[in-house]
Amino acid sequence: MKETRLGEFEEVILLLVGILEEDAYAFKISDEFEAQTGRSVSIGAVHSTLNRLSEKGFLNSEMGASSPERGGRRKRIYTITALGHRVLTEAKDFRVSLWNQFPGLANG
Amino acid sequence: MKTTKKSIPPQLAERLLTWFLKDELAEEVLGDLDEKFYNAAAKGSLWQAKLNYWYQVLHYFRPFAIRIFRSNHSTNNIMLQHYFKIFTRNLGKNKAFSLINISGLAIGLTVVMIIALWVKDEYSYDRHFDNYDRVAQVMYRQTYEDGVKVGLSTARPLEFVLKNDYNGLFKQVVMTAWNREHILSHEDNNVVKHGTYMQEGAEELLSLKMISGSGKGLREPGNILLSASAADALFGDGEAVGQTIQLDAAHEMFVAGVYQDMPPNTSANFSQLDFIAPWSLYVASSEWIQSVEQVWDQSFQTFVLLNENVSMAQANAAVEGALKNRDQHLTDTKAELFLYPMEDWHLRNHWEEGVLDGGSIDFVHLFETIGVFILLLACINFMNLSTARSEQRSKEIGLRKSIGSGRFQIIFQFYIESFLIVFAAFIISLFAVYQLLPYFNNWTHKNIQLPLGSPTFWLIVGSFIIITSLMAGSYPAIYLSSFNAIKALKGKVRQGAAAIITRKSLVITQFSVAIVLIVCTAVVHLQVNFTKDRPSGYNKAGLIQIQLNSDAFKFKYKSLRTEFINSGAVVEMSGSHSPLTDIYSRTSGIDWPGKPADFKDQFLLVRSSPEYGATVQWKILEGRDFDPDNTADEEAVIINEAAAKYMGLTDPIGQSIGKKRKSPIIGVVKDMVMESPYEQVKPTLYVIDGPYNFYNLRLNPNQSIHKNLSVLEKTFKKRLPNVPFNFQFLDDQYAQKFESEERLGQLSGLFTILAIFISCIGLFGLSGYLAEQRTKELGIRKILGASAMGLWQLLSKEFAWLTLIACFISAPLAYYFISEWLSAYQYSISMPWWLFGVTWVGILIIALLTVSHQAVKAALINPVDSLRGSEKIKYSTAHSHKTLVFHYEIYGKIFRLGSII
Repeated sequence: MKETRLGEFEEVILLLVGILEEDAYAFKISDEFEAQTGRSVSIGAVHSTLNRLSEKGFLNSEMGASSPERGGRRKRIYTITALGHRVLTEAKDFRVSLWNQFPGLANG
Repeated sequence: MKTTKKSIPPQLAERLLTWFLKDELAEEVLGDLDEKFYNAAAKGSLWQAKLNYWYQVLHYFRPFAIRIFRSNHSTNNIMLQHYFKIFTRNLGKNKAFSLINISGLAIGLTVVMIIALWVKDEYSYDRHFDNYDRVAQVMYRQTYEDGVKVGLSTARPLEFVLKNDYNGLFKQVVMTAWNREHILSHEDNNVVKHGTYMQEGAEELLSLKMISGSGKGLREPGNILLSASAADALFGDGEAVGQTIQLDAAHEMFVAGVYQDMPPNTSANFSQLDFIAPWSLYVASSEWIQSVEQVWDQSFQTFVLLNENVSMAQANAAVEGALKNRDQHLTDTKAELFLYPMEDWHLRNHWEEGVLDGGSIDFVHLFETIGVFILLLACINFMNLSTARSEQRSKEIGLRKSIGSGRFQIIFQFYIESFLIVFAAFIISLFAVYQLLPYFNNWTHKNIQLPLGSPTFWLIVGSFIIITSLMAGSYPAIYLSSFNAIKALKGKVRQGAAAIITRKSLVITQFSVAIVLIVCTAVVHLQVNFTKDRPSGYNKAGLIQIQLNSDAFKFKYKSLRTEFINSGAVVEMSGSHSPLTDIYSRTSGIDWPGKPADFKDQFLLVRSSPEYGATVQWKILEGRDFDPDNTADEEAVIINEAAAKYMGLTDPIGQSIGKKRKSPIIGVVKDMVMESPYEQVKPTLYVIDGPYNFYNLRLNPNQSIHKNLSVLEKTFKKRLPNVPFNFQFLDDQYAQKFESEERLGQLSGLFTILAIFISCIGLFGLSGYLAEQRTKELGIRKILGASAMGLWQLLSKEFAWLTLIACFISAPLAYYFISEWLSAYQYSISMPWWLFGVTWVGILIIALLTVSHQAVKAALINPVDSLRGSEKIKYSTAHSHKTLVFHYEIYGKIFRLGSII
């Protein structure tokens, strides 16, 4: 899993892209990140991660619609690819399997 | 939300962003940031939103988002590799040229680096003392008939004056005895160590770094502080603190503490401080010291540590009048007290009329100048050689330009080449410095190391390399890149008259410097040799001197003298207060018949046993020597010629001179050089008096020195079993007087060789360049029947002229420096005019030899080749053989010329 490994931040961003659906562009994602985690993050940091995830093939992107508060500029909307989905699932399964082996909390 | 004009994102931040951001990202990013901005402005204050905008912009400084300003990386690497390849090929193609260029620069760098290390070391003196800027030595300034003199000796009452009347100024006032050799013993282990007696407070003044025990131990008269090396010599690995040792085989001392040795960059006052004994012991052990508690006789030293809120200038102004109304002599000589700050101890120690006037700092400045100068010359040479070669590369540049190379790429290429050469030169010089430092340290008695672990060193070296490569590479880089491509390809690049004149004046400058240095070096050698040959007035050969470093010598003079003479190793022996190579005592207030009123006299005073004159074999000019069997002579005085002249006595024998008690003059001796051999002998009085600090022994001239010494040692050991048998030959002691001048001579000799070498490199480059310029002219001349010798003369004549101009420019400079330098010596040679002639001929020969290589090469080129204008003129084997033969012919001629002149 060397190239497809996800960092914690990457995983959260990937999930947020999934949650936000057609609103998944850098500003909204960073806004949502701050709302959900209470941690502040710069748009640049989010953008850089989105860019990296796209390079790894977990995200696709295309230019979307423009809006007046953006000065008429378009936004880049990100969507999760099939590979991205699989990596997210693997990450989750891996955690679950670890939780199941954790004696203090294993239910059984 | 107010939608005023101000409520838009900060324009500057936006401009910054669009400047560094990749174009393809601009739309989405600017959009996102706008959204963020209006969002934030709606929630909070406008100001916060703007701040946040800046924050967001700065967070886009990320590799993925930043525009690539340079062209593609991989092409860059290929270009760098290409530059490197061209560079190495060029080096290989012109091996001799590369060798000269790199080695010239490397030599320059080596010298500059060594000078820099030396200068840094000189400036670092005494800075390791914590109270460096607050320590001072107390000194006297007194006015005598022949000028204002300063003195380090202080009187005992001064301590109480400074402590009571000036107690707001000083944190510590420390009375100190003179540092000299003493004997430390522990059981059977006797070692001779330098040390002194100091008052408590010395540990704070010197900020002693204690290894064990406490520096407070100086309070008790029975305690002693040892340096680490002294403790090591006495106890080896054992613990020193708590042990008992004997000082001078007389006092039982308790080792109260061990301190770290003084670092090598400590100035003379405390550089040899192997132990510190308490002042109270010094006072207790001598009735004489107790007796001078209220007497203003100057016999001690005083050091002070200023309070933290007191400046040196304040303290100096305050203590100036401390000697007013103390005693008659001080009043007569208008004595003033002043402080000599530790900061000046090492570098400023030359006094002119009672005021500090340079010292070693002059040498430091001199070498700084020389260092900069050498670096500059080396760089200019490097530039010169590179430009002289430029025509060979004009086609390369034309080609580069025609296939699309930009001017900046060519500039860059030449900077890279210059950087590589400087870097190579630097590596060589680093290695050279590493190899040379031990010799340099040995020679200068220093302990300088290459600070390879220090980041500052690498920072300096790094900037040094870059600055030098920029300096050295600029001219070729900017000049060569300016070639017009078509002209360059046609080979029509010619350098302007300005460049040639610059180069010629450079050669003249270099040779002027070389000539000045040669003449000055020669003068230093002549002066030193002249002074060495100066008649000293007594017989130094076969004379040895023993320093009485132990109380064990007390009351033994008479019996030791008898035993030594009876042993056959010694023919005569005397005791004296001063060594034979220096005179410690001065006296003033002497009266003599016909002394003018208010004449402020000062004499040197030699106190010795009556056999003094017989031992040193002085020459009596009038009257007689002391008679050991005549007790009346203990009241008599012998004077030297200088003293007779000073007092203006035409018939001195029988005259009575002195202070209250008058002594008859019984003899006049020839002047003896005991102090500086460069100065006139001062008026000196010789009297029979103690205490003795030295024994002077005249070895038996009829036996070998080796035998004399072994017999002497046996006798010595029998009588003084606890004292190491240490002695010095007077010849050696006397030779030390020339050490600093000899070192100066060697140093200037070194710089002379360097200057000649660097000048020759410059000349070599210039002659090669000019010969190349005239290749076609020479070809035509040859076809028209000019001989090789004629062409050689044609080419060399010009350089002979340059050298001659340098000779004339350098003459007044050299004259100025020499007369300045010689004027500092009272006993000196007169201006050696012949030296100028010899130097000129020598430098002319050297210059012609250097030029001949190029001139001969040019003269022997096949005219067909040169006229065809082929860029590279190949020499056949037969041709180079011919060149060689011609070389020998020319060199032979020059040498013959030299020997005739």
